[in-house]
Amino acid sequence: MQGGNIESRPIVSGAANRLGLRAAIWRSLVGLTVVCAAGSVLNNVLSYRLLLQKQENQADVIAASFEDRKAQGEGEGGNADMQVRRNFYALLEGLGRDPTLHRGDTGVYVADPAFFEGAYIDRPSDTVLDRCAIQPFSIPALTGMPLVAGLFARHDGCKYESYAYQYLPHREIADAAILSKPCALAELRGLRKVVVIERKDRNFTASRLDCAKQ
Amino acid sequence: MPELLRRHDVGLLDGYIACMGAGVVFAVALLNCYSGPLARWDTTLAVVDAIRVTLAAVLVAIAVMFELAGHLRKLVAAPLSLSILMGLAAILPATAILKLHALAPAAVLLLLSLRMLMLVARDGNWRRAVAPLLGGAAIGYWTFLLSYVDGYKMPWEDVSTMLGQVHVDLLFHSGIVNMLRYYGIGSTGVDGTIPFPYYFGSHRVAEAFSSILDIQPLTFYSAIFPLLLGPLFVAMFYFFAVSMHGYILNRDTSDHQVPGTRGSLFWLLIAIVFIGVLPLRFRRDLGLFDNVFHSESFGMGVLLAYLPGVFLFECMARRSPLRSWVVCMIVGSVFLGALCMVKLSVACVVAATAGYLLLRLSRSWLQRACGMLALAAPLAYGLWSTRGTPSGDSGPGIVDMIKPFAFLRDVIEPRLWPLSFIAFFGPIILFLLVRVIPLRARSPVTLRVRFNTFQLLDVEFAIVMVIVSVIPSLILSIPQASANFFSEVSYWFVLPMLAVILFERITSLSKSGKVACGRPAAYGAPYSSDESGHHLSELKRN
Repeated sequence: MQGGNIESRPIVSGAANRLGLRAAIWRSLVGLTVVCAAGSVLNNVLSYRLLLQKQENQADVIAASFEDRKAQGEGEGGNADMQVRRNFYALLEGLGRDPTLHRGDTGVYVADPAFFEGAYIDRPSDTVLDRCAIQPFSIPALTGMPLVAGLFARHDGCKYESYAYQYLPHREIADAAILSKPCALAELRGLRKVVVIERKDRNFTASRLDCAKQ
Repeated sequence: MPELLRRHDVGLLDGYIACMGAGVVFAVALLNCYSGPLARWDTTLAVVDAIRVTLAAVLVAIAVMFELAGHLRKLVAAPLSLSILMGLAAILPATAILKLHALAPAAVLLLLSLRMLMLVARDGNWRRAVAPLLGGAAIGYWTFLLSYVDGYKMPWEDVSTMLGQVHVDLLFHSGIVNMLRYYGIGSTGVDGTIPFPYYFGSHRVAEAFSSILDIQPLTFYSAIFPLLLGPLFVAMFYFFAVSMHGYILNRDTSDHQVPGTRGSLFWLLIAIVFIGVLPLRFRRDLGLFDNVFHSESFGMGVLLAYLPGVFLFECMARRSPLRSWVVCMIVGSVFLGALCMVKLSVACVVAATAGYLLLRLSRSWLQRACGMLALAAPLAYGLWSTRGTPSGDSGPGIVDMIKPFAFLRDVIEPRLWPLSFIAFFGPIILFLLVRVIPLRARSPVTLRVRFNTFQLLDVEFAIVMVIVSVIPSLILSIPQASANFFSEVSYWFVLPMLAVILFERITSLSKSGKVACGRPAAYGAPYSSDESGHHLSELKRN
């Protein structure tokens, strides 16, 4: 019996060594894979960090240019398109901060054909909408009030598709003349008051109409 | 000693540290974006104030989750699920309270920091806190980058607004929030307040938070929402991983174990699977969009969908049948209804997976019938609430949307289809290989026996979820590649499962190597009866 045990020792030892070697190889492969994966992860984080840094620098440059213009006074110089956009959205943000306009009975009418062409907004690459169809969303988003426009009656060639445009009534305005009447459009939408936005040169003005008193 | 630090909860302390770290790193990175000229803008001050309040509220919610999880362990059958629910419910009241005084967020941050220090000090091993802290910080920073770089949100929303460069999706959702807030109507507001059928759950949440934080919805969506979602999503991701880990430990071995996620390997793996190894420039080309961090409703939907997943694995880990099926069905039905109002695609995937589990786990046909009814009713309501008008003006119906493989054709170049397959199905395939093959090769217990005794429920769960989420994506053609909102659900469920199983396998591999070399394992391996034990018995036989 003892002799048998002595003879089996090399077999046990060999099996253990083989298993140990196999486990060591596996551990090395797994370790290498984990290290490579961690390297890829680090690369992803750093590459996105660089992208964010670029965006941050752009935003800082633009913010600094806004501040410079503010310090020098709003002159005629500089990028006219940028200045017009800035004036337009500053007006919308101002309307959005006015609590007297947020009583559920006021709409916004934009008396500016360029607005319906999407002149004040860029088109991102990942959307199906054209600029003309993106622009109307700026009014409810920034002013907190709905736009009254009769979009489908304008026949301006804009494709109002997707983004819930499909739920708007297509044929409820028979008389196109109503499109130039803010209160008539507001009443059609069940609103009693309307803020009329007009463009004058590079600036925009907002006047308030109480349709019930007219 | 607090409940959290008892032997069974040491893993949760690591998660606590990691989730807190993720939240703080996210907020610090976000605040750092306002260090330039923007810092002097009046609107920036309001945003910075909102960031502080939101961070404090998110950390309070995470603290509620982890603190309650320790205390409820012996009181209820599903302590993690209940504590998660309580934590999520606490976030809105916490935000309202923290907004009351300017010093409140700072005070809460200080208290929570002291609490963390106290817990780590009581644990007595400071070095063990490093790995979860670093892992959580990496994931938190990644969620920050994903939220603001890859999608349409950006911290400098005011600048992009003034330039007319705000993304249409932000304008669209902000308009809806304003219409809900001031007019009480679910409308886009582009031509009056004409209502449209949609699920407005995420918009209601945005409305509530932007009102409490006193900021515009556009600012909330651009800058604040990612901070709200990111750390909470990380916490839910972790809780799902922990619950699944607990299930595996308790199902595969005879002795009752609890998840022990201590150690740097776990946090390294969870960071790797969360962030991903594919180069980013290929991800979108391959159809991986990370919509969780770009679509608010989808992000919220997946975050909520983790809750039933945690509940499932908690219950299965305890090996005890549910006492009240009726209560579970009612609660599940209400939850599914809420999920339908947040994201219908996520609710459909959850309902289909739940339907399979119902058939598998129910004891009688009456239970199955009642359960199916409980699942079908909220789904039917969800579909009805988003139905089109009979006039046909409401876009394509479901029949019109059935275009097999349109997603692949429209979004992914044909030459990238094989790579796309690997990128999307890679995690689930790897999970199955790592989970099942070792069992089949080394265990005397057949897979059939394991299947019959519910020892492979995690595998079934993953397979079913992948199938039910991929089928709609392959069959339906929804505008703007929205079919991805189905398939990505399963992707985010498979990732934590993969991290857990890789951790288990690598750990057991390391132990088996030590055993084979004649060094005993330091403690019982989860697969000890199958692998480590196998080597020993083989040696004994020789």
